[in-house]
Amino acid sequence: MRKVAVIGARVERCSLDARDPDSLMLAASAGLLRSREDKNRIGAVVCAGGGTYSGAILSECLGLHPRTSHGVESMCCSGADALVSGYAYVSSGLADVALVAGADSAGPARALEWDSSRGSLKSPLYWGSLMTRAYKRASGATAEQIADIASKAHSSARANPAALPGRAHDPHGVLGSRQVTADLRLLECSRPASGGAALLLASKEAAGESPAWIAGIGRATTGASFGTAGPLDRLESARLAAAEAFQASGTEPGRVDVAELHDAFSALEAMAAEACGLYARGQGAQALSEMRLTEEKRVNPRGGLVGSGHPFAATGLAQAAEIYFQLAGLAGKRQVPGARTGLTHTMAAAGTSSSVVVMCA
Amino acid sequence: MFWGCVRCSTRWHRDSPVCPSCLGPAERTPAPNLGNVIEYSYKDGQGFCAVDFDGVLLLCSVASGEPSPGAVAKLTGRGLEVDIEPSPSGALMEERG
Repeated sequence: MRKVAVIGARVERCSLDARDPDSLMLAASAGLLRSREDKNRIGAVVCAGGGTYSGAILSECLGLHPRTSHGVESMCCSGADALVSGYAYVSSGLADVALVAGADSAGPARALEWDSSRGSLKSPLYWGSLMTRAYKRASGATAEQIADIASKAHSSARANPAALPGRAHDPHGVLGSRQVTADLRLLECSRPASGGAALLLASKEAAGESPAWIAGIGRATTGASFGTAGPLDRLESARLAAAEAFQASGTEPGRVDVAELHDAFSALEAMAAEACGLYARGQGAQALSEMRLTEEKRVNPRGGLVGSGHPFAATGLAQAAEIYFQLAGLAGKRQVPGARTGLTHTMAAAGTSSSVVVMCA
Repeated sequence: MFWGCVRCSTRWHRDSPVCPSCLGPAERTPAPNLGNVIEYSYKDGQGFCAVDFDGVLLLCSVASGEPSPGAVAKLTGRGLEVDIEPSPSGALMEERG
């Protein structure tokens, strides 16, 4: 397999108004390619979140003639899985350069209607609430610690120009926000948003030098129904995917300088951090709570989904773009000094599947 | 209703006539009457819970009773809605985790 580099990334700013995903994907991709000279080397275009035949449509709009172009759909993992597909094309030699793009529109939270095991309780709020309570019960994490994590997300997002407009909230503000369920406050929940992101991947031969290389990818699917995700107090698919990604990369959790974790709800940031091995089991909430006070940026420096917004099919690509910016030293006020190893975790449908990508400088 | 494999004892809830364990044919089978509450919460004062019915985890709304981990839940016959038995002492299995 060939080495694969990330050689460019662009993220469109999230908003709460409904937008056309194909237009957002085009804006992100055109913005990325506009200043580059390698447009004609793109051999694969992989899209997440667009309409029918979106890969070919995006190619035509950009004046590209790739060998292959297609869409990827796996709910909230769509963007991350578009990246995985683009990686596969480049590493296998089917393409020297791949454009991966994703976008989505603000609207009601997505739910897997097929999943009859959820009965009439289709909204993610239900599983998010049960997982939050189960995690707190198992780990001893407090409501105040979860509020700290949410506060960290909203504060961090203020340094992210692609985040939803908003303001910082201290933990008291989080705890005082509207109670959505017995276990979730409004400011602990990510919001569906319009947004888009695009990345350019290249083989070592095509990239030459690059600040960010994809060192390992892990993917795990435990099922699709709510009940197949495993114990409610942990993210089993994330644990499996992270183990695979670390094994492939030859690195280990302790060497991760910066991580982007899928915090659909704030407690899930702690659960994902533990599943990826960044903290011991049961210690994630305390560690992330302390991070708010120290202003350490190791986890979710762009504000995560809770702070930045959750443009479903673009989320995994926005996370990967942030790791690219961090490893390239382009993250501005969010920069983790000297970051050389980064990780993304993206999940779908109550954690029934996860993608983990490890990147190294 | 559940689905059950005619070859092995596997049961599942989704509408799918193929056994995920042995790929054998399946038929509709009555749902277990009782399950164990794994976790619960409330939204707008309405209880809901994850209930384990013989290894099949379902997300149910609570019609009556106070849910708690280990409590026994009984399907009311109105979709995935359960009554919670008054005492958790008859728990069918230990809390997951």
